[in-house]
Amino acid sequence: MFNSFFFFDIIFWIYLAAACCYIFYMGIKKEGLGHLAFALTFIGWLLNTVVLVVRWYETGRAPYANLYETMVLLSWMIVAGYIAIELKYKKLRVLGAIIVSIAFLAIGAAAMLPYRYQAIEPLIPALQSNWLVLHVVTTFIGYAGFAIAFGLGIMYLFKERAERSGRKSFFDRFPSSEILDDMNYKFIAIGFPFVTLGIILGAIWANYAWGGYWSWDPKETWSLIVWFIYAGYFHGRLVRGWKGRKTAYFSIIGFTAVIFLYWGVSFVLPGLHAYA
Amino acid sequence: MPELTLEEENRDKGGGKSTAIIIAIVILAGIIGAVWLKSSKYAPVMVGSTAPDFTLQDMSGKGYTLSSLKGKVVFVNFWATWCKSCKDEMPSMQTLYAYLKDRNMPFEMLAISMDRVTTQKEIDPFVRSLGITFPILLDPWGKTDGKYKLTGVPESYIIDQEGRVVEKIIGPRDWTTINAVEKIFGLLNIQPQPQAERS
Repeated sequence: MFNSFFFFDIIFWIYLAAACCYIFYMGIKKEGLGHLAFALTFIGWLLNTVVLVVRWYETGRAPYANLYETMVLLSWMIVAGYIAIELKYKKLRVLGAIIVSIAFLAIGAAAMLPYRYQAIEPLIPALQSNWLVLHVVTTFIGYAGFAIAFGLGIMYLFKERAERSGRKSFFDRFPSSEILDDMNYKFIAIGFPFVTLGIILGAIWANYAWGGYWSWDPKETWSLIVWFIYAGYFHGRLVRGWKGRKTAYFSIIGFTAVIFLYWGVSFVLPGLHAYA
Repeated sequence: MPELTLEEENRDKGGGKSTAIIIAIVILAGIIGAVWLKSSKYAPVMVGSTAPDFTLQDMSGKGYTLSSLKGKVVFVNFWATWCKSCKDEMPSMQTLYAYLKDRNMPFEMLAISMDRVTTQKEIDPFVRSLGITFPILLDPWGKTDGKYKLTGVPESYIIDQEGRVVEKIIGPRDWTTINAVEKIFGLLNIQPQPQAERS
């Protein structure tokens, strides 16, 4: 009974409970609730690790080969990133309301997949390679960074608006817009090099596996679009001196494109990269 | 980055933390318990195992619960409007259904549509065009997909009077042939007659 699905179902509910606690914590100023939310998040993350390890044992390979497995990996990375934020900046605990919710949504999306996409299947020959681990892990560190930046970007827009109106509001609990903007930048600065590296590793691997670095497969094309959006973010930020709202919008649009790259392209635009 | 004041952190040192950890462990135990109670769902659905129960509505909103059909032989079929071989299979299911209904056999046929919200509206024209009279159940959230661990559509299960799976059929079948209905007729104690074939 202790299979990866069992632990997966547990983390689904733990992350849901943790996200709810963070959301209530945002509403009412009770530190105890914040501690509870963090404890649940931490337990959820430990069990998320267990899901990955058990799945690895069950499949006999690195468990990053399809949509379902990579969603478990993504939530693990997002929550790891969040735990790091919370340990470093205790005062930013309200960020959990949105970041842990995003991790929960990743798990929820995986749970919604039809069973045949969740089932363990032998790895197709093209994926039987150590490149799989390198390419997927680097890309997903990048996606996790973008996911966190996306959450921060949304919070920034609410907070900035509340600050401008000057009235007392629900968003008073959020960190100042300045902190949110700065952290948004930090997480994209982490995510971008990893996604860049992930694309490069993918191209090298494609050369081994498919005999060409780049074949304008829909996944490749869209990954390039995503790359350009975030490259535009850096250009705006570093060259043009953009800050605040503009870059927040960029981080939101960028992550929306990532979601399309990952879910949309896989289902809508079939191509070479058909596994996930 | 602006300097962060750590006043909030210092506000309640110790205090709420141990309580929070205890509550978190209680919640964890509750979740593990609840998931554990439902752990039978991780077992594969095979011949001989109890057919996973479900409650779904048909197109008119009438509810069907598998477990309430004990005493009847139940034919559960999973299909979708976008599935070509489902469309090929269904007329033969209709023939079988009509044949057994005419003879008032304790038999029920439930065809569960795996269409998600995007193709839901195509179910009604599909069913009309094929002249189907057996219940078509809707499962837009794929609740039964995970329970039955479907490998695709169509997939059919023959369930005996006690609710056990007697036969699991992956892919389509012509239900007007004697070989195809052997198990069903056996459970219903009918001798196959030539009329059972295409009428």
